[in-house]
Amino acid sequence: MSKFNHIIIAVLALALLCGCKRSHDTVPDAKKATVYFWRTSLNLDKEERDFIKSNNIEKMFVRFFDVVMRGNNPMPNATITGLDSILHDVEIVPTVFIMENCLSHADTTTLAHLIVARVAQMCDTHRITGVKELQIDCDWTAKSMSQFYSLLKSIRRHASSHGWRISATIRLHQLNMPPPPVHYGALMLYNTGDVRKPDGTDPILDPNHVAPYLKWLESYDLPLCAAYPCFEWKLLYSGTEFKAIIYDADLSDSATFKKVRDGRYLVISPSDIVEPNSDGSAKVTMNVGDSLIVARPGADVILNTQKQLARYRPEINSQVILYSLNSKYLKLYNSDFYEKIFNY
Amino acid sequence: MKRFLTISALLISFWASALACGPWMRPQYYVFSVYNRVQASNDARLAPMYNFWRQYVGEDISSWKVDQLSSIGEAEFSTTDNPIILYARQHGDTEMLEYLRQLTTYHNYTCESDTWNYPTRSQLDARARVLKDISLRAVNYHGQRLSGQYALLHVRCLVQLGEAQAVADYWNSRGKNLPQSVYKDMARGLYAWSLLALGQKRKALTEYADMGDMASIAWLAKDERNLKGIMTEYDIDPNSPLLIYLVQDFVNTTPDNAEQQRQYYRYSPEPEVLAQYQNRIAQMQKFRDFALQVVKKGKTSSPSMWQAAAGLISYRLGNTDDAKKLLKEAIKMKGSQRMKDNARLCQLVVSSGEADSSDKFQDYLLSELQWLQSAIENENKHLIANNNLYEGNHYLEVATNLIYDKLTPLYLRQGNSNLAGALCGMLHNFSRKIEGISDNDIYPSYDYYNFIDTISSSQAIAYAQFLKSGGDSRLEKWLVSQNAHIDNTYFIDRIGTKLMREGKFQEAIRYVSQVPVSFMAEQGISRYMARRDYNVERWFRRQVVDHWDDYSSQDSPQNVKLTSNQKLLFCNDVVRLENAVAQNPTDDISLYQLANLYFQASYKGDCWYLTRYASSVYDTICYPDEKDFMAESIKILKQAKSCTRNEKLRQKCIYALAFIPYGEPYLTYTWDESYNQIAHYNTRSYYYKAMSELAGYYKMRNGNVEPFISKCDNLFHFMASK
Repeated sequence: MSKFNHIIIAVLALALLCGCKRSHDTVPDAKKATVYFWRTSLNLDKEERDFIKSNNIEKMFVRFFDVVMRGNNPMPNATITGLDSILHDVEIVPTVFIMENCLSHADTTTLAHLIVARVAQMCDTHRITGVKELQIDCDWTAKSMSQFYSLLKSIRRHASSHGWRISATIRLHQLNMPPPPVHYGALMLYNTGDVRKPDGTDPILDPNHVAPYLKWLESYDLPLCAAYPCFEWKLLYSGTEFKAIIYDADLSDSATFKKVRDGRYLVISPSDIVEPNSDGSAKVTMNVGDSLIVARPGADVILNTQKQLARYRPEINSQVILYSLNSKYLKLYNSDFYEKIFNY
Repeated sequence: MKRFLTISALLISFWASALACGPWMRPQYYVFSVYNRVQASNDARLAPMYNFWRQYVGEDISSWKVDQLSSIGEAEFSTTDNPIILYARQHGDTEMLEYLRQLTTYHNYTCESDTWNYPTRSQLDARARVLKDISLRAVNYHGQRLSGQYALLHVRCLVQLGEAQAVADYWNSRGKNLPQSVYKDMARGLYAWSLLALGQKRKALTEYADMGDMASIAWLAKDERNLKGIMTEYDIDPNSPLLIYLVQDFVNTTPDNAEQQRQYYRYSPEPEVLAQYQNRIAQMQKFRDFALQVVKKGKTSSPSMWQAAAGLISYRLGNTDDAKKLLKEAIKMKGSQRMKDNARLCQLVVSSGEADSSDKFQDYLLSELQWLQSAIENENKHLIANNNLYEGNHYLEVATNLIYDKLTPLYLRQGNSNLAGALCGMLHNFSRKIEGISDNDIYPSYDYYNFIDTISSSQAIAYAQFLKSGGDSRLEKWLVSQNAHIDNTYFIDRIGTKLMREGKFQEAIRYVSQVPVSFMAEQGISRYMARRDYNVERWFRRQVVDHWDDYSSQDSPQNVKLTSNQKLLFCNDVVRLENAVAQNPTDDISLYQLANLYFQASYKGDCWYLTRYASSVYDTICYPDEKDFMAESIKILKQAKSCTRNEKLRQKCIYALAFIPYGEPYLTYTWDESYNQIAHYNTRSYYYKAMSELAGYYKMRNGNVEPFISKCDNLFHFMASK
């Protein structure tokens, strides 16, 4: 073979290599249909149990507790109750949400030990068997990334003694950072916007928020699954200032709300709503003139997002997580939607 | 070259937590208040318990030392230095020690579910055994001294074990006969809980009402918060404590005025929406009539409350005269002092809508504001006594809305900015006194700051003079005497800055020249002032303050070395250049320099601190008489461009014109539901036209242009996207 032929072969090989799409591993032990459970009490109602059955939900990511700063120490908070009534034919993935500010105040080795030991004890106390995975949820930023990754490494080490994998939630803005040291990530396709900016986009899921991040998806070096929304928010604004998410407003009460257009209401009578809000207080005052915007991504938007992700990472929908299992929201979408999203 | 990229950094000066042109939001507080909100707070009910322990140990121990009883481990009990246990131990009070031991054990097994040590299954079983044991010990206590404490302990254990019926049985057989104490009240609260758990809501409601537990009542009465609920309750008992909550709730949740509500419905002709509106108004009218009927029948012991409610509703229905008459009568009717005060406050709110500068109204306002001050002080004492300051002072809240949101704008509209300012200054000073703040700082987050910041220079000059003169009328004199002290230099600095903002640089010199550098150095803007030069052409260089690129406020003003009065230097330079171009309108160099100075002083310039005290990406032209410096800069650049014979200067002008971020961007992207990218060209925008001109120039010169144009990535992006 001449030197010229060698060059041609080398060039062709290079061209082939460059032309190849990068392939990614699927998430380990992927289950097609999975859900988050994010309430503080595990009391599934009939609708939720029926949903699990009819959609063959095989895995539930159950928020066990949050880790928040109390005084100078990270402490568990809002521990879930009712774990005795857990479903035994569905795999449970204990999930722990960690507030970012805990990372700068904690010895990550100790914190990792505490988290894993507590999750293990909770499983033992409530006889939850067959746990294979622990998921960690944290909205880390560039500022806290190294601390968080160090925590994850320790968690992974401690969890391995229980035979657990570690997964972590990945927010869109985290896609352009190095991936965390976990077995796989759950890409959150919800809460993509900023509720503080009522700019006409849907803060839960909007192509305008997702599209700019898609370019990072292909090169993201971690197996990923995708978590899609199945809920709505009623967002209260005073002018353009965000006040609160209202979970329990009866929009059909036309003495209090006037419908301005689809998904947008005006408060026409003042009213106190008892809601747990961000500062820990429980009362939100709705004043006359405040706006209430219903944020709810359409089924087509969610399905189109799923399709777009698959263009960049075909394997990403091998495991789909819905956020979250709650009969209040399940009826927002029809069975056709659930069929499509779980069987992409 | 990335200079064209709009920097969207949030620039906020050290002091300025408020945005220069940011929204000024405040809730419209409820006006009607016939029960003290302390009653709706758990802390108020717990206050006697803290006091009990303080009396026991004979010293003013903090409430958290009492709370500490809930976190003392069993092993620590004999060694803890908790003052309550210590006192009992040192005084050989074995009866109390035994109770404390049982109490701490109870807490050990119930309190904290959010600790790192999650209980094991056997611990959970042990918990139930221990609670049963404590419950048994408690119910077997037959002494007198701690009978209330043990009753509560017993009931608490039963609640933890979920035995509602046992709680009810215990209360009815023994608990209710115990001597009065805070512990008995707390046990009674749990008895009310058991009634709820047993489905006896009506009985629970009565218990909560008798205890004055408005928080529980509010939760329980949530389905009766309407006229029908009020009428039903009145039929059952015309003096039901529940009515106090329901009437207050009904009045406070009606719209502030019917006209406001009518406006909301104006553009909504749907019959069902209109019917709702009419129904709402009809309910209000019915309530008014019903309330007056209640007064007339004479069965209520609180006619003042009902009549005041009718009066405020009447006002909200648009009948001010009827409201004033009803409220005037309500003040003198029977009822608690709070109900009478409530009627008086409602009358003030109603009357303030007709505020004017007449002697008659001013005299009325003076007497009512003096009364309001004493009401605020009394409420504050009550809140402090109940360790409940965070609940907020009702009278202060209403005064805040009344003065800042109603009277101040009204007097400003009437052209009486002096009275408007004096009212603000009085309340600012008074509320800070109430809050225990002694200094005189006028922080940006306060309304008084906002008032001074947002009036024009001429109003500020007049207001400073008004404060010096002490006012004319009795009201003005009193307000000035009650006003927050404002340093003269502060006023001079503000007036000078306002004049600069209005483009009156010659006049501004008189004021800014009087402001010492040391005064400016204390301001948050000084960290920018010390490190930026207004002569730098902004379109060629952005002046970064520090490595945090303006995000940080780590440098306190004290750390900044400010060596010159930049505002004065700037005024002098602008006046010199303005004179130069006035004398020679084709002085291209001066025109160009002036355009840069104007732009730097605009809210998008690096030297925004010359014309305002805070900056944010949300800023706009928002002050009265504010000059549009960006527009002015554009105008002068165009003038310089057209008259110059210097090609390099012309290129600078064209480039600068394409730099100035005036108005909308020329291109934005959105994505539709199917993720298709959509480009939006705004060809009518100033920016598009300016970029087009720059592109045209580049093409005309076949790329033979200065490097600042030939290396402009935004220009090439623009040309490529067309």
